[in-house]
Amino acid sequence: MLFRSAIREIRRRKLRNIASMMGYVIGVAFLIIAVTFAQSYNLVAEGALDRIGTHFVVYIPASKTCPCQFGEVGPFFRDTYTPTFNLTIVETVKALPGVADAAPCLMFRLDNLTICGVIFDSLATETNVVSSKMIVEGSYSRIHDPDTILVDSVFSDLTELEIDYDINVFNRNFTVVGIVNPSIYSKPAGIADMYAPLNVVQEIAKFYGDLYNFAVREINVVLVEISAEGDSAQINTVEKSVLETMESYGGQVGAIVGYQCSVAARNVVPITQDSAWVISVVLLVTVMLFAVKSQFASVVERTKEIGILKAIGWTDSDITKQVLLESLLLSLAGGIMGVGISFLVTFLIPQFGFVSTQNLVLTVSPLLVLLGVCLSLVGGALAGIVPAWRAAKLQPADALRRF
Amino acid sequence: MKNSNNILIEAKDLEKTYFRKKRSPIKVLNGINLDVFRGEFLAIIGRSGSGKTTLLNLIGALDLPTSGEIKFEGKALSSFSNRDLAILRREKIGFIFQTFNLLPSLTVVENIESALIHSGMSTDQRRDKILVLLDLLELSELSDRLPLELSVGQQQKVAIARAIVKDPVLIVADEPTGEMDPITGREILERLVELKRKWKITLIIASHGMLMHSAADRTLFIKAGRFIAQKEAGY
Repeated sequence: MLFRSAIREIRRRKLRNIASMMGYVIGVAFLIIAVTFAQSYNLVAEGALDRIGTHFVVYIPASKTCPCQFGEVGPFFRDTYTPTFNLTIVETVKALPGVADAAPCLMFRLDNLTICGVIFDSLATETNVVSSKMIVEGSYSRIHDPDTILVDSVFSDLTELEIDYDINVFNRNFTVVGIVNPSIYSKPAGIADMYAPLNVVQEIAKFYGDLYNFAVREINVVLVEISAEGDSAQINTVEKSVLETMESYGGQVGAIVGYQCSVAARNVVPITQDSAWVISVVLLVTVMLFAVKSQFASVVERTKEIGILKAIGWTDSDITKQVLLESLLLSLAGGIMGVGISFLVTFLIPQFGFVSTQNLVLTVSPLLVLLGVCLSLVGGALAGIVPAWRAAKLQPADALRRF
Repeated sequence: MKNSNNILIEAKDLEKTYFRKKRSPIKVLNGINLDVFRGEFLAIIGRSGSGKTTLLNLIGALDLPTSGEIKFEGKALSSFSNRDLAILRREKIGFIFQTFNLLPSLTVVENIESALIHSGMSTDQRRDKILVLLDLLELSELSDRLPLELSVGQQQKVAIARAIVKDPVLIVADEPTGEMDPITGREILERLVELKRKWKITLIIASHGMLMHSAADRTLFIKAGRFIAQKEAGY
């Protein structure tokens, strides 16, 4: 009956209670939306910082025109056809002081179609080329199945490729298992149309090398990740030693793509998120104060009824429970509606392009939802306790006489 | 019936003053002494402003005196905590108001049930008890109605049901027929007297009219916060 009575009391003062509830709705929705946007922007910012982070790729630039006389085909990286070298260089680079990881990469081009071969789970691959974070559709883990391929999102749009489509490229049949978008993370080497395991691309390169009579060794790019604690001086030293190693292997000067200044920048990124938290919490507290005021006025209006309940034997704690229950129900309903609105807004904003959201992946965190509802309930409890306590303290005769 | 072992309420030198901000205080009760016996029907008659309601509030444990003492079943109410007073009102005292004071958002059944909700009884026990009362007071057809959908007489019957549903030892009624036409007022009074006889409840009714005087065992006349006369039934 307490619950039923609380629902009826809420319905009896519809407008006032809707106004109170809107406070919770706005507060919770704003909290979730603001923090979700901040988190998403941070993700994009961190992706951009990865490019200028503690990693880089090394290759040997050669010719912008294809050395192959039979067509546009051969190992290729960043606008140039490149010489290839043996895989053993990767182990040498990995052993250099300050290098956290090094990974091999072979990027191959045939008639404007580029495929990148990597070892998918290596750290240097994830920071320089592609990682599970960049998956837009499909499954990253299925890339380990035979004859599977990841395709770039722009390429899949242009060619209307979808997950589980079979395609025939580079004289092989592949099944598309994932669509990735490395460009939003601005990876130094994330510029291929498709991504496959290194051994597959090596087989492709060998096939075309045999076909068109050009020599292809194992890889044409070395992916490097420097220890996270490295400062710029150390990074320069590592870069220098990597280039010297390249020269000693190939006799040619290598080029480096990548940059190092992310440590300081990474400290700046969370400021957006922190600001969103602070603004949201301030707003939430403000609307809760309005809810307290509204609840307080509601209890004052009901002073006589509270007097009646006390006259028929309700104790102070019975009265407090009743008022508190109403306040909690309002805040719970408001919190849930706020969550619903936040889901709607984070879904609609990218649809209508209200803001520059093309690079944002707006995913509302379940923890944020839980936090929003909990904060709303805490607000409801605070909004209810003060007026409930005040109402309960009145002598029944006072309450009956005043109104 | 009237012996010292049979006293339910004992009031001594009761005074009540209302203190007001920036205005002079108002002394409403001025040295009331009163014994109420178990099973007695006591009428308190007086004009508006004579102190009837204030006296009933003190007897019904709805308010505290400025000075003096009230004992209920031999225990001084001044020694009760707020919770003890609430439990006393819940278990032993039923209050009937002139303006009924029903809760507008609750139905007839729920209004009556509101007096039992914290009694420890199960829902079924509560509902069974209420059904008997509804039948007794001819309210069965109206059980799902809200107070605003009832006539004044029906509303007062609901208020009576709410007061007696907990089997109180005392019913305190403040002008229970004040809002009614004479015929409905007499019907309500007859109901109260019938219930009092049937369940041996002590009944204290305050009124400004003489209707109560005819049915009461004893009548006290109050003026300016003092009793000025007393009449026993039959005199």
